[in-house]
Amino acid sequence: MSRLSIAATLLLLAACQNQNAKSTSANANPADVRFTTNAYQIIEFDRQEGALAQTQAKNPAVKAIAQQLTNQANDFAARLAPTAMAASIRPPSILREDLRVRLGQMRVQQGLDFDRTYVADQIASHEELLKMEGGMNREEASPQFATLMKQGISLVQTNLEKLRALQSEIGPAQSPR
Amino acid sequence: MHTRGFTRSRSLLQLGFGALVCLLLTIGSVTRAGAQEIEPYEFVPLPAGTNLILGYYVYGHNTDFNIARGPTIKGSGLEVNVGLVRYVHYFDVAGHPAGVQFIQGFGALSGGHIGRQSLNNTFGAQDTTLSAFIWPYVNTATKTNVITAGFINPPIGSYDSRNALNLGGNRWRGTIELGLSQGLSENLAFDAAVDVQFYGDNDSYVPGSRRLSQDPTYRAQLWANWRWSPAFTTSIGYEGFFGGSQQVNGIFDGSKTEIQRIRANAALFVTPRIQTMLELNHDVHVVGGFKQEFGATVRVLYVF
Repeated sequence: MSRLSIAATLLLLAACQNQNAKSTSANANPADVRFTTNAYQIIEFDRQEGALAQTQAKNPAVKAIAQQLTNQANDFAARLAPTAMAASIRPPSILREDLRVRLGQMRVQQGLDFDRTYVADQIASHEELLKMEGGMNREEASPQFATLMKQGISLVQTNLEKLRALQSEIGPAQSPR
Repeated sequence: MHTRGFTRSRSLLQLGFGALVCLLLTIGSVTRAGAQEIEPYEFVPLPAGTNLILGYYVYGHNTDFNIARGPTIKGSGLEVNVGLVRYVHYFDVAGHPAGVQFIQGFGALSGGHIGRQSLNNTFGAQDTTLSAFIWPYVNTATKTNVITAGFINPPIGSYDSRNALNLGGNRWRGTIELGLSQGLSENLAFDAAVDVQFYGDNDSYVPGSRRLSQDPTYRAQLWANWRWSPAFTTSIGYEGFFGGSQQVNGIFDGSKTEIQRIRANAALFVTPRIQTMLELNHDVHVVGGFKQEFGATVRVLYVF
């Protein structure tokens, strides 16, 4: 086996994983698929960062908000999953690239550095989601997804205010962004 | 012990100075492989789906040459200039973080001489490294990560039995490694690893088909790491090689892998995706080979 074919095999393996939702139905609404992708990404990111926060955060307020965001992510995932399944939409199998990079950085941080980076990450991902969902016309989505979208945006806006208030207390992240 | 001593004396007498040159035929296979040799924080698992591309430049300035249970030949030398490219992909296996990697080195060995005997220069590819690894135990609460890895090196690097120096080994190699990453505080962490490397025979060691065989090499590595900021870390480390006695047609040839090395490292994330790293190292004690008086590694890592 040549060096080139070995490298190509490994790259192919990497390409098999999916960071976007896929529909198995030809009639799937693209707005529903896009919403499932975005929702899955923030749910999974909140879950994984939240799990790290329980052991690596220093500030009790950061641990508390991380637990709250994790609970909300689990609750929203439980409502999204049957809706997506009914619409023949399969969620992504891995996190989006930029979120993986952020999560990788978080795994080696501890204490105050972790607290600041966690809050900054969450603010960035919440703002990003609002920007993406704001650019979507809710009327394009199917009724079930439009309802979820409305609930999700409201939740994200509320959490964003809490996260900004917390950031003003503990300070901005020091890591390269 | 007596038998081995006799064997060594006989081999040096019979093979003479030419044997010294033969000792170096596989120097490329014992220079830095770039994978089993760990750098700080390598044992912290990354999220499934993450890819790394790493580029290394490895420099080694070698001076004295020691023959195991024999003299040290002062005024010897070898310059190592090797570039490595490494690709790593992470995924999950049954809920455990895992990954695969591919490493390829290219480079030059130059200025080689033992005493006044020239070894000439060589340029080419090292044997490719293929590896898979898994973390059977990860505990973020205690900051503990335990990893096990396997490496295989098929003999596809550059090799010419007429050359005194080669980057490829012309023999299969395999390594099993066990590693531990342990955080002790917000800033202090340790990485430790032990590995054992097994060697297949090189049946074309010199023209005339002498067979080179080698005992397993055992290695221990340790890094103590201090995180100054989320982006900047410094570390000091130790690397020790043990065993690895070489035989030519069953006769010990005075070469083995017995090295005690100290290392210092600094790493900086210049962006969240790009990390730069510099390592400096020095061999404090070597038996059965060249002593690397000064070594340096520059690494650039890209996450995607």
